[in-house]
Formats: sequence, structure tokens, C-alpha cells
Amino acid sequence: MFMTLSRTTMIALLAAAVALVLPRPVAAQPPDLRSGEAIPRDLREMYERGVQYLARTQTESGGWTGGGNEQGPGLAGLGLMVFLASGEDPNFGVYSTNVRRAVRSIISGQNANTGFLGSSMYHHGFGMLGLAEAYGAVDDRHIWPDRKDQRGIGQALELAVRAAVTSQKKNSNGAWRYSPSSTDADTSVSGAVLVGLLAARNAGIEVPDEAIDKAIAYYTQMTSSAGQVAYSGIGGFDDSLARVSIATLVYSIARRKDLPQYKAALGFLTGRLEQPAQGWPDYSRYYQAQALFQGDLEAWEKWNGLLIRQLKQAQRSDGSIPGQQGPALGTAMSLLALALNYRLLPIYER
Amino acid sequence: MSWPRLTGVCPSVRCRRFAAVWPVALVAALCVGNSRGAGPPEATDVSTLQLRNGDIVSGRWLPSEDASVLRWQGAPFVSPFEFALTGVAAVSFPVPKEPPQPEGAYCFELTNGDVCYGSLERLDSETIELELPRLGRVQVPPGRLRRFSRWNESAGLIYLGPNGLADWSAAPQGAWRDEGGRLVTVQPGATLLSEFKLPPRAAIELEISWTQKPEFILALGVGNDDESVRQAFRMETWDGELVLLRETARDADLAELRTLAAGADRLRLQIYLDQIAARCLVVSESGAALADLTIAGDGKGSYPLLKLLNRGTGLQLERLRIRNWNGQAPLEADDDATGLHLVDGTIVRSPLSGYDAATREFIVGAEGARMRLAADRVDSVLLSAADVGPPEPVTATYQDAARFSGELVRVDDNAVWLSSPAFGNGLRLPRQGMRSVSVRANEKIAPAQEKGVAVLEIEGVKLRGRLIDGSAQPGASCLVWQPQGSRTAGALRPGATGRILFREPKRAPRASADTRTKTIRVEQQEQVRARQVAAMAAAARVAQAQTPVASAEEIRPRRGDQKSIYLRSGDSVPGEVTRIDERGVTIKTAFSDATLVPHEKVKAAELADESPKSAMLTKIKRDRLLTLPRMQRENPPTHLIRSKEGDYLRGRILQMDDVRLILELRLERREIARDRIARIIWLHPEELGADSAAAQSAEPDTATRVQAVHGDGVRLTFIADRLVGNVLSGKSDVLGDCQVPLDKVEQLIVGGAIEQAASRLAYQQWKLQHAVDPAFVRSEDNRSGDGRESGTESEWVGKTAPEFELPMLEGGPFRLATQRGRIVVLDFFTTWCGPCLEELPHVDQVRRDFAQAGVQVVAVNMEEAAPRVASLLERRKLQLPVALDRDGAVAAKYSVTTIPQLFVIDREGKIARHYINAGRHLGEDLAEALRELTADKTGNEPGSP
Repeated sequence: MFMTLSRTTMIALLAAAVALVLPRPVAAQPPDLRSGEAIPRDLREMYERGVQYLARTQTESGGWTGGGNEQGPGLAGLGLMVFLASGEDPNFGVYSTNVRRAVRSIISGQNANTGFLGSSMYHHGFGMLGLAEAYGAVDDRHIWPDRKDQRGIGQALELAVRAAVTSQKKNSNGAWRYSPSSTDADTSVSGAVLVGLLAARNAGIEVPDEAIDKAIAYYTQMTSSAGQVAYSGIGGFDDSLARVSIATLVYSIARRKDLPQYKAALGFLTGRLEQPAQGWPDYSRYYQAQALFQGDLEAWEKWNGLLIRQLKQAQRSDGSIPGQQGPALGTAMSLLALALNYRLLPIYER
Repeated sequence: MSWPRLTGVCPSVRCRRFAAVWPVALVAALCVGNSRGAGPPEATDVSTLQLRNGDIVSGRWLPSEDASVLRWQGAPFVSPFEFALTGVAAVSFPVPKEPPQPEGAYCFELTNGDVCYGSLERLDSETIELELPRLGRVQVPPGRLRRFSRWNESAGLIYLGPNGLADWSAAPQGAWRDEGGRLVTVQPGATLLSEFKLPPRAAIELEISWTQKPEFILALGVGNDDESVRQAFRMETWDGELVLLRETARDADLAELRTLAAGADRLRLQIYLDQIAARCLVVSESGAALADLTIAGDGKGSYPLLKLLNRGTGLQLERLRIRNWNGQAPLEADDDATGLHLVDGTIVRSPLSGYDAATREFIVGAEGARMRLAADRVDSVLLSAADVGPPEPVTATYQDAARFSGELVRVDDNAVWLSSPAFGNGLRLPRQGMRSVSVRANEKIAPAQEKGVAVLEIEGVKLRGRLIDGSAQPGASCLVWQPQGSRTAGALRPGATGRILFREPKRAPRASADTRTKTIRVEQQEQVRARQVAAMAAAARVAQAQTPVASAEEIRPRRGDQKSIYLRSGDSVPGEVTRIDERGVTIKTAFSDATLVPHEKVKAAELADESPKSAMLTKIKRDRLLTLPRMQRENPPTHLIRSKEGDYLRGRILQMDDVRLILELRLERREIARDRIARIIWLHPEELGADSAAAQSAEPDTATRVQAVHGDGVRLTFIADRLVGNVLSGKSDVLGDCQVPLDKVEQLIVGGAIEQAASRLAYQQWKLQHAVDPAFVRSEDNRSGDGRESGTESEWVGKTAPEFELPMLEGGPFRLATQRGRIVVLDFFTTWCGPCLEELPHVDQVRRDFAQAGVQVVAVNMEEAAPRVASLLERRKLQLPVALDRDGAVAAKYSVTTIPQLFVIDREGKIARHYINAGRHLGEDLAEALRELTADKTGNEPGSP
């Protein structure tokens, strides 16, 4: 019989127990990082208000309504990760209903034949990432208690991986763009899909090495010697912190820190810790947090202090954090940037 | 050391003790009584009362049966004042922007200075009857009418005003204000230059008033250059003397006109300027000739402007009437003989014995030698005047320049009642259309010379007087003002903003020039005497140039003084900073038990004396220090730390105790020994780029917020709720309860003026400014410069648009081939593409704007299901026609690999524009392109569709 644990207990326990719970290999981590430092109270409260906002505004079907990209499996995947990262028990905790709704939302929208999660490859990537993070932590039996015919998280994730790999095979760049059948690629959409694939691989789902290698090769082509990362096509290097962060992150998670492009990209990031994002600040900070955390813990700690300060000012009284694509997506991405402080999500492991 | 006693310890005990000493009932009764006043004046009904001592108060004139008292409801007060009429200088009423012109056939001038316009109905040895607008038929005793002249419904009138600042160039900006139509300045050096033009021969009637000492120059017939002003006929005040003078390169002449009274007074004159004959005559309001100068100018002809320069404190241009003049000198008023000026220039020196209204003829000549003159042959008539005695005490002036004088009888809501011998005593003057009522100074009554008088200065009010005991009541503050000369006091309304000045800060003595002059007649050839006149004028100008100029208030830390904490409200509180952390600044001060001040309220803190050799900070260095690079915009420094040696460090203070200061410097943590720090200045992010006063503009006050400013620089802001025995009590949101003895206070700043005053203080000037953006950033932000895409750079432009056919969302097909002769806009989008969603409303707007101009807009959705697209349109309230490119085949034809992309296809089917991710400026770029393309066919200029 399971017990419902208090949230604070879960924070303490999950950090130590997560490696045991998850059915996959976990890279060894330094003890100090494993236990982490005490989470400041104001940060905990900020996260709590944000996650409550998302829980409150989640629809019955598991998604969020609103403008822009506020609908679809991508946001459902990100929202799902916010609940998972909260430290509450995903199966019996205060957000377990929200977790199940989000998972159901992603799986029920999936094309049973192609595995495409829907809407665009952005959504597919983030939806796949959400499933990967939930896989092993969320009990399938609670997802579809009355419908035995529905896919479980593992099945849906495998299918989604297959869709991503199929799409990549059709793409001459070896990467992804908005449509699964696109023949060109960009480093933004590709980041969403590749991180999803890497998370799935970390979760134990079979992902062909070739797929990862081709995608990493695409990123190396798109990374300048100075560390800038172009968007699409050929050239066009600018100061986009979001794309540099994506590249740094995928090199890290793919365990390719040996690449000169990784070092260049990371150097670019750490040299610009105070630089404001040029547009899409929530999207930028979502990746910047993970890239710095993976690449340079000392730099992340400095940057993280700034992030907390900025989000504290940005958070509204209802707990939401504004974003260019609406409050739900802005809140989800900002909270996931903060969630590095908890380090509970598998994708955050170093 | 003696600090003002701003007691804050155990305040509640002190408050109770004061309450026991002073009868609460009396204070309450006063304030409650005040709140039962006549209510706030209507916004459209605000007039200005000008007192004899120079004070003013805006508000409303209340009815009174007692003619010795003027009841006045000041706008910011809850109850009316009752001023002795002898202390009143004038009441000015609002004047419309286009004041009415005088109406009537004649302008009548009475012996007492009254002027009115109307028609002559009867004139004989018994009586004179006039028909006047507003007053109807009135009778004037013979001997009371001095002169009348053809007015002819304003014919020949050039200017009648002032009507606010219209028709004037005022400098510097803001120095002059429109106060009920008259023009008012308190700024030395303020000028008014006419925009209307003087005729070469002009008759000028002028009324000027002043609040303290008459100091002005009026230059007549000038251009836009200084030289013409120097050479013009000028009326100048020289240490209380009014003179008329002219200085040219060769000649100079001067005539003393009269001695002007110090204190509030006014001047009325008639000036006749003949620039053709280089002559200027000045005539008093009673018609006496004061000066007649003829000095040739620079030979460049006449100059069309008029310039007024204020050299003193308060100056008002009350009235100015300019008419064409025929160059003939006015009949001398001291000539007993009556006479008639005919329109042909003839002067008839015969007594006027009657007027035949039926035939419109004047009857002139003595009995037995009478003759008749048709009225239209007569330009003006000077009549024999009776001895009129002393001037009347009260004069009412109308917007059309008519004026009537007499003794005040009473005032009601609609009329001012005068007793006027000139009009057979009872004169009811309607308040409608009135522009001012002035009261002549009674020299027998010396102005009150009270000691310890304070001055209340708030918008529309300057009143000498004193604060009396009071306590805050609903709708009334505890600041109850007893003006000089009023037998009643009034509490200020909450929300009033201004100050009470208890004593002026000491200033350097002002240089005085010996400008005492005598009337000097300078013959044209006597160059030596001309130089003397010029020297006198120069001496007067030098005296003006040495007038001290007010500068921003400075608070500079003095070595050895006790250190202070400076708040953003302007407060300066002596005390010691013991700790800084994320909660705020902990201080130790003798003035309060409160110790923690939140960061958002702090501006600066002094910790220690600087080294005698500390580095000086130049303006360039300071500007550099306060410039925020673009890359730090989201993480601006919050503090400036100045070392004892004068070095500065920018960063974010995390913590400070009595040993060390921990600072975040570019996200790095640093430690500094506290004993190396002299000062800390707070840089508040919300002040970035804001101007000083606006940054802290407060909400309108509902309570009475005051800042007590002491002579030694100590300032304290609090909500005042009670004044008892000259001790003002209240509560500071920083220091808690406090009590301030007013005898230690230099000034009490009230309401929003606190922020304005604070913005002038030295530390408040320390504000970060954004660095100037590089050109590429500006062009991106402003869509100006070379970074702007015109939509014609693409290789697609000029090529034939690929043909296609797609099903429409609302049903039916769309075939491009059928659109020849129309301009087609294709916008490729998906529902999940953020930039596409940003552009769609602009595209929809363009569709609406150009629907009638032969433009077909189609949004092409790529590879999505129809319900999803329909849902988006409904959610976003878009009415765009959408073609469904279900397999992406059409997008492939147009090589759409990036979205959003938008193509404009001209009437011939060629691509004319191609935009890729054009962003928020797409709408204006697209509209401009379509205006150009739609204009091509018609040959019309591009314009709105």
C-alpha cells in the first residue's frame, strides 16, 4: 500500500530516491550535487505558486487554453514536467491528477499509426520529453484505469521516438523542422526533438545511435567557432542565447562535451551571463538554465541567482509568469528553468 | 550640536499630553466649522483674488451685504475667507479665448476714468443719456462725461486683449501664464513679443499691474532683433520712476512720466506712437499729457512689434488696446474749452450744447451762434469737465474693455453693486462678462507689518499668514491657514500641493544701482548729455544682470557632521547605518524607534568622512558611471559605493554589517571592508531613463503629507494629523510617529510638491541612464535606417507566381489564374507558428482596408486539419479567407521552408513583394506596398484605399 507523502518530505526523499525508482542507468554524480543545498524558502514559494497556477488552469482534457502555442502536446509535456519536478508524489501527491491528465492528453492526441504527437515537431519534441520524464515515475495503471486498450507511457514514448526517427530519416539535414515531412531543418525545432530523444534514450527506450549522431552532426555544422549557433540554412550566426543554449545542452546530454563546438558554445554562454535574451525570454531561459547547469556549475549558480531575482519580479499575483506565447507556456518554461534548483527531473542529471 | 526636536519616542504618550493641554472640542469645532464652508468652486468658475500685499488666491467671490468685506472661497480651502476690502487689490475673472468686441457707435470716457461703449441718446444742458449694452439706458450728469469718440463697432481696432497667450511669443517657455485672460509672470527676464502688428501710427491703451515693485520695460515698435529693441521708444521703470526714453546711435532723450507705488498696484496709460514722425506721446488715464518725445530712429522705417520685459518679481499685463491712429495729438484734457475733432482733421473750439438724436446732429456754439454738425462728420468730442474729486475706490472692467467705477455697495451671485456719482449712484453691474474688479489703494491705511509671518504657496495661491491649531477631519486637513487681512481662517483640503515658507533661506545681498533720475531734456546735438542718459540706462540693466539666479538645492555631506540617511522622498535623517540586508537598511537614529527602512525608500547613506585627498568626480566621469550598457539591462546595478578615497564601485549590495560589505559584482560575490566606504547611493531600476520628477510622481494624496525642512538640511516626511501649540504631529511611514515643532522649520512642503522638491536634491540626481543603442538595434526597434526590408530584396520579386488551386476553408476552390487583374496577397502560415500568429491580425487588417481596392488576401494554411484552422480563426476573431494546402504542395512550389512568408502578386501575376518573418511591422509595410501597387493602375498618388 502506498502512502501519500507531504510535499516537503518528498523533496528531501525524491532527490535521493529518484535513481532507485527510475528503471534506467543513471550517471554517477558528485555527492554534493546529489544532495544539493537547501532550497531557499522564497524560491520554493515562487515555484509553488507557479505550479498551483498551472494546476488551476489545466483543462479537464489535460492541456491549457489560451493564445499562441498554448494548446497541444508540447505544452502538456512541459506542464507535466513542472508537476513532476515539484517534488510531490506523481501518483498520489497533490498534483497526481494533473500529472495523469497531462499524460492522457499527450497520449490521446498521438497518431496511432505514425506516432506523431501532433501539431508540429516542436510539440512532438516537448511532448516526447514529457513522456520520457514521466516514464517509470508515473504508474501506467493510474493513467487509464478503465481503458485497457490505451497505450501506456512506454508504448507511446516508443512510438513517438519512432516518429521522430522516421521524420529525421526523410530530412537531408539529419534534423527536424516544423512539419514531420519537412526537408529542411532548424536548430530550434531540432533542439526540442533531440532533447526528447535523448531523454527517451536515458529512460531506457531504444534510440538508434545513428539518429543521435546525425542530429549532433547537424548541430556541429550550425555552430560557429565562436560558439554562435545559426537558425536555419547556411550561416546567419547571431547572438541568440536560446540557440547557443540548445546546442550546449544537446552536446552535453549526448555526452559529446569533447566536441570543440561544445566548448565554443559553452564559452559563448558563460561569457554572457548578464546578457538579456533577444526575444522569447522564457524560451531562452528554459534552455539557458539547463545548458549552464550541464556545462559550468559555477556559472549556473551565478546565473541562477539572477534568474530567481528576475522571475521573482516577473511572477504575477496569480502565480503565473508572463511569456510571449501566453501565461501557461511562460509559466511552465520559467518554472522548469527554476527546477534545476530541485534537480529532480532525470533530464537535469549531470 | 542642536538638532531639531523631531521626537518619535513614545509618541502616543506625547500625543495624549498635547490633547489634554489643548481643548479638543475647540480644535474639532474649528475644523468641523470649516468643513461646512461654501464647497469647492466649480472648475469653470475659478477667479483670482489679488491682495494689496501682493498675495493671490484663486477661488470664487461669494455674496456679501457688508461692503467693507470681501468674502472669498479659496479653491484649496474648505471654508471662505473674509478679507477687509482695503486689503484687496483686484479680483480677476476667467476670460474666454475670444473675448467680445466692444459694441456701439461711440466710446465714452468719463471724468472718473470710466469707459463705456454704446450710443448717445440725449445730450443737453440737463443730462446726458446713453444706451449701453448690459446696463440699458443710463443717465450721466453733465460734467461727468469727459470725452467721446466714434467707435463705429470696433472699426480701426487692431488688438484688444490680452486673451491669454494667443497672439504672443512668450519666453522663456512656461514663464508666462494665462490667468483669467491676463498674462502673468513671476520670472525676471521673462518677455512677451507681440505676434499682432502695430500700425505705423498706433493708439495704445495699456494697463499693467505688479505685485511688489514695478520693474519692467515696454518697447514700442520693435522687430525681432535686439538692436531694434535698443533703439525703440521704451517705457522703463528706474527704481520706482516710470520714464519714456529713446536711445539711438546718435541721439537720446528721456522724460519722466510718474513715480510708481511700491507694493501691488497698477498703471493705466494711453500711448500714441507715430513711427513715421518718430514721435511718441504718453497721456495719463485722465487725459493729462505726460510726455511728448520726438527722436529720429535708424531710418529703416517702422517696426511692427511690441515687447514687454519683466525685470522684477510679479508682473501682469492686464489690458492692451491698440487702434489705428491718425497722427493728430489728442485734445489736451487740461484745456477747459470743449472742442470737436472732425473726421477731416478740423478742430472746432466751440462748446457743445446739444445732440439731436432724431437728425443725428450735434449742436455747437453759444446761444445765438449755434450751428449743427452731422454726427458722422465728428470724430471725437471733448467736453467741459466738472471737479470729480478723488478717484473712485472700486473699478469693474468688462471683457469688452468697458469699465465702471464707484464705491462697493454689495455683491450677490449675479451682480456687483456700485454707488457711482457718474451714473447717478446706483449701478448694478452684472458679473456675466466681467473680467476684473480692482480696488484702489487707500494710502491712509498702512499695510500690516506683522513679524513671523509665513507664506503659503500652493497652486493658484500665495497667501501670507500663519498656521493655527487644527486637526484632520474628513475632507479637511489639520493645516488651518489664517491669512493676513482675513478675519476668518480656512483648513486646506487634503490633496493640496505646495509649501509653507516660514523663513527665506539667507541669500547674498542684491546689488542696487543708483538709478535715481531727473527729467532730462537732451538736445539732439548734445552728445555728452546723451551719453549720460545712456549710462543711466546701462546702470539699471547692470543691476538686473546681477540678480541671483536660483539653483538646485544641494545637500553635501560636511566633514565631521553626523552622518545621515537620505530617502527618495527627500528626507534627510541624521543617523547611523548599522546593517544592510535583503529586508532593507537598519539605522540607528535619535528621531525614531523605527530602525528598518525598506530599500525602495532609500536613496543614499553616509557612512564615514572622505579622505581629504579623495578624488574629484567630473561630470563626464559621473555620466559614465551612471550609464548602463545594453547587455546589463536585465541586471542593472542597484548601488554605487564610494570609497573614502573617492573611488566608485557599481554593483548589488547583498549584505553589510559593521565589519564588511558583501557585494554582487557582475554576478560575482565580493567583500569590502566597511571602514573603507564613505557613502552608498541606491540606484533604483524603476528610475532608469525616467526624468527626475516623473519617476516618483505620487498618487493624489488623500491625507495631508508634509515634509518639514529645517535650516540645517534635516528633512522629515510624514502624514500630518494635528497641529497644537505650534507642534505638528503625524506619522512617518519610515520613522513612525513624530512631532515637529514648527519654530525650527524653514519650510513645510505639502503633497505632491514633496517629490518635486526632492527631485532637485543632490542625491536624487544619481540615476542610471541607458547607454545609447547601436545603430542596428535602433533600426530593428524603430524600423528606421538601413535595416528595414522593403520586400523587394527577394529573388522571387519579378518572377511569375506559380499557378495553383486549393480548396478554401469555407468551401469552394481558389485558383490563382482567375485572379488576373487583381492584386493577390498570399500568407503562408500554420496554427502552431508563433510569428505567423503575430502577423495574421495585420494581414486581416490589410484585407479590410484594401477590400475595395481590388486586393484579394488569402492565408494559406500548411498541412493542418480544417477544424484546427477554423478554431484558430474563431479564437482570434479573424475573418481571413483560408486556402488549405493539405499536403504542402503549394508551399513547396513557392519554396516556403520558413514561415511566415508572404507574397504580393501584382495584377499581371508577377510577384511584387516577398516578406519572410516581417514581424510586427508587416502591417504598415504591406499597406505601404499595396498603396503603391494600387496607385500604379490609376495613376493616382498613393493614399488610403
